[in-house]
Amino acid sequence: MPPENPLLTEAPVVINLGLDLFAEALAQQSVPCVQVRWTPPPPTDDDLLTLLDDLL
Amino acid sequence: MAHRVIIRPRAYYDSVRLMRISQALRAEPGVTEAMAMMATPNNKKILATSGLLTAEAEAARPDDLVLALAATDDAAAEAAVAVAFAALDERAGGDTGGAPLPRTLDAAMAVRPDAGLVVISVPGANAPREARRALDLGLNVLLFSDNVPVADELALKQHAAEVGRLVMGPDCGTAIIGGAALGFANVVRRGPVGVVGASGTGTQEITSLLDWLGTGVSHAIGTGGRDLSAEVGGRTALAALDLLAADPGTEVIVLTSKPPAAEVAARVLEHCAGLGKPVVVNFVGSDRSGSDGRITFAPTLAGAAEAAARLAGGTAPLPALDAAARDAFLAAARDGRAPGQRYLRGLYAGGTLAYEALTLLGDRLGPVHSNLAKGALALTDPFRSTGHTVIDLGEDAYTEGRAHPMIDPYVRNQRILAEAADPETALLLLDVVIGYGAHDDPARDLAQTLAAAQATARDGGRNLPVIVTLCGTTRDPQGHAAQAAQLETAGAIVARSNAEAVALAAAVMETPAHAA
Repeated sequence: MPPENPLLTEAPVVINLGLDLFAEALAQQSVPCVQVRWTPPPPTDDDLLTLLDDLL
Repeated sequence: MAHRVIIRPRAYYDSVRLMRISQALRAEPGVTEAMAMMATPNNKKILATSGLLTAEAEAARPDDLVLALAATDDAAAEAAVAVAFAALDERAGGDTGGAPLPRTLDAAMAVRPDAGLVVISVPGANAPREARRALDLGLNVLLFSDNVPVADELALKQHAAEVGRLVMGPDCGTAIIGGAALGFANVVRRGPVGVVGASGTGTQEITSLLDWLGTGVSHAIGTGGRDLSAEVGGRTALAALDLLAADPGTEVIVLTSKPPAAEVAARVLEHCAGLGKPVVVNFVGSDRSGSDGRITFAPTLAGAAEAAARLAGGTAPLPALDAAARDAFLAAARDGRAPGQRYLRGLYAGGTLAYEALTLLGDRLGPVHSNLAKGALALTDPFRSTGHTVIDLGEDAYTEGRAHPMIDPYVRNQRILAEAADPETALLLLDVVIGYGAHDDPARDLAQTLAAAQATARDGGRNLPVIVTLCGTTRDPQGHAAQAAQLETAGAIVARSNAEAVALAAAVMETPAHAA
């Protein structure tokens, strides 16, 4: 059995990966949010990264 | 005239932030054009059109930032560059207590180990990898990104089921979880109705109307537009229905989607019937209605909100136009129409609102052309209307290299002006969607465009009636009343639901033009 999903039972604490706008909106609502300063990986590294994910 | 074209190699900024910086720069003294954008092929075309594509910009890579501007003199150009750099270097939002922003999902989890949800809006090519990592970290995922292959979607949703988490998306624009508005979402009162939505603006329309009806929303869970396709099989919808069935704060459930694949519809409806809570189903574009006691079918988004409110014990009527204002609008539209003004033009920012308009108008007016239609009614040129036309300006043909029209109104504004210049245009049908994520003041921007459009029509000896459906609530940051007032001052009539706007538009078009 997969673990129970706490999505609707826990107060939302959010990580935002991408548009700053969404983190700003959560800040306005006083919802805890961490913005990730995301940058795209070099395109050629993608296969390597997937491989690393599989290994780790 | 002074020009500046500056490249920042390997500096990624999101399209919304760059659009806002570009807009702010254009308002600087002496600046005549300004663009901050990633050096994608499409954006290079835009630079070339403005004469700002230098050899250096031409050579830049898609992950390089280009800052290009033109100003009246060197001093103004230098001042604008300084403003641009300050804006680019400004810290993005987020709560890390003053520490540097984390650069990866894992680092963000170290900052907030209690995080339960990640919103991912990075480019589609990078999104599946981040979503998969998020699931492995125990996070639920709202995947806003589009252009994610369906095979990746299926793999992510299968993995999510294994680890007991939910993937909302890809291309999921909206959700309300535990009162938090995520993505594009409205500020709605908490209440007993839970929503599962495969369509973004459809969910916004239903949740906003549930607020107006005084009933309110427990949670709204997005699934992404492809979830109920045969390939994906409604995996997120089924899991979301189970979550709402188990949620003590949810008494009534609404499911909204474009009509699913037949076998998926059968499976989902069977699942709905066994949830133990009443379910209202709105398959946008289907005219199915009635109830079997467990499932109530609603043919419109507004009808779904109203049916859910009734099941939850609400008695307030749906918000609607004042009858006198409606009649006056109809009479003026009828009497002011020249015989050549034969066609309705619906220009929507909200995809589901456009689709609902297209199907409802097709029932009333006969053939309606659209970029959402297939076969003979598909628009051959998305930038030119034919006969009655309804378009979704959020589709790729209009958004490549730009933010969504709910944020960046430029493309729709241009289209409004083009329709105003067309002597066959009888009526404009528009939407304005407010709430978190949307433009700061969409009505102000639209009102300016409508003033120019009205002037164009007047110069051609025509009236141009305008119907706007305004989706949102009184507590949205833009304020429903303030937005409506600006639109009414610009001469538009502001409908309270898309179904009402469409019905009024159909009534105008069914009324014969005043004999000249």
